[in-house]
Amino acid sequence: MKKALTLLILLIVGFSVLAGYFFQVQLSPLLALIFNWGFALLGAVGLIGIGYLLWHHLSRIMRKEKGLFSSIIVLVAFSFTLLTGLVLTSQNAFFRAFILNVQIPVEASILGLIAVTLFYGSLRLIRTQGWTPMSIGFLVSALVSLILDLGVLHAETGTLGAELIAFLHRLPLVGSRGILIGMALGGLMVGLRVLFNMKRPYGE
Amino acid sequence: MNEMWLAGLIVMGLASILLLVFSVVNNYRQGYQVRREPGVEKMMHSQIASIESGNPRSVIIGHQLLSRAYPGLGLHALTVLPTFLNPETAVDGGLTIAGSDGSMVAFARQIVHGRYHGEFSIALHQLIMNTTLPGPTPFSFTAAILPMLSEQPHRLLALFGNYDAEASLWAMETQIDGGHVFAAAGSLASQASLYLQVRDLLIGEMVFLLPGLTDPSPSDRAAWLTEDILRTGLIITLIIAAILKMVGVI
Repeated sequence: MKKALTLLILLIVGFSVLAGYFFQVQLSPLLALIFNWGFALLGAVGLIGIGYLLWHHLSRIMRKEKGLFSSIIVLVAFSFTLLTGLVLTSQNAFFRAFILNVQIPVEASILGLIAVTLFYGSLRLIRTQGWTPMSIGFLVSALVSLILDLGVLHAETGTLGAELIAFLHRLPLVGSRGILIGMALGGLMVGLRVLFNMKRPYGE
Repeated sequence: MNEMWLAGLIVMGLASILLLVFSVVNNYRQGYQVRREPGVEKMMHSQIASIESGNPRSVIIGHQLLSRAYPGLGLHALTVLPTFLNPETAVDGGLTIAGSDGSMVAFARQIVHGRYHGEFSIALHQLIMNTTLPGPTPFSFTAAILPMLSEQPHRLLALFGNYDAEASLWAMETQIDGGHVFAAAGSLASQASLYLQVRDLLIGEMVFLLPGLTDPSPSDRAAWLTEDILRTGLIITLIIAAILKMVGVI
């Protein structure tokens, strides 16, 4: 019964959204309603997720597990940010400066770590992937992009060199569009299969 | 009539019709050939080896359920999850499912809970299987997941869904301790960064083949065939359009 109800709601909502794409003018009020409900529901489910996070750290403190000190810091920082955010609101200059002065250095340090990891990974690329056309192409294109982005190569406008540089600048964009088209098709198939009840992650 | 709207109408209409037709046809005959993907087979072997040796393993389901740039990736991570759970029904825990989107983690918990009820396996009970949200943003997630990966050396780390270049840090941390990393890479940045480090990597539309590669059903085969037809059609259309533009017709 529960599964049938889930399926019924899925079919009604899914086909309404799909029909809304084809009949935009006629179904726009219905679509707005569905999207508003959807976003409200997602927000509520997101809060449940935050609840899991808090419960995870609380239970770690109660069981005195390893990482107890980190959990205390997380809970104190979370409570402080939540309370000050509610009292001062997110538009308050002090609140924004306070949060950003913690958040930005921490995120910058992680970005630094990622940069080092990527550099190390690029040195080991051939060891990881071997000498394949794709790995060689990847290395060459990374090198060419690096040289181009340094800005040391210049050519007179209208010359063959300028055209070549412009072409090389455009090339990654073309590749990324190709990958994105493929992924969009894949995403479309996943959506349609869930809609046609061929895949049921919600009911498994 | 808007041209974009018309193009969308054609692609979506064609996809729906082909998918339904091939699903019906595939129920009566063998259907489309199953592709072999060594990376997926190695991931399955690693999962079994990890279960047998009692080592921890983690599945990361990404940072976003909904995304304009990568529609379907979050949903795809959730559709992969049931397949991944199958071998886990026989053991007493060790799998962690982590994400940084509260809604995704809540849905993942729901899937685990549903499978627990379906299979009657205590291993999937909430108290034993760890479905967690280490941090609510990509960087806080990374800061929390790295100690987790280093404290308990993982035998397997599987990455699904929508994430960025920070995945290279997770991969490196797992590989340092000899763990196996499998990634169905999310964004373009993660595809490029993981290509440097991960041998078993699915990129582009290959990501969406995954649930069926482990246990193909008639609907998986129908989806592959439909996707291949649409992709080939799009490539031909793009080439023809490029030629017409070159000769000045459009």
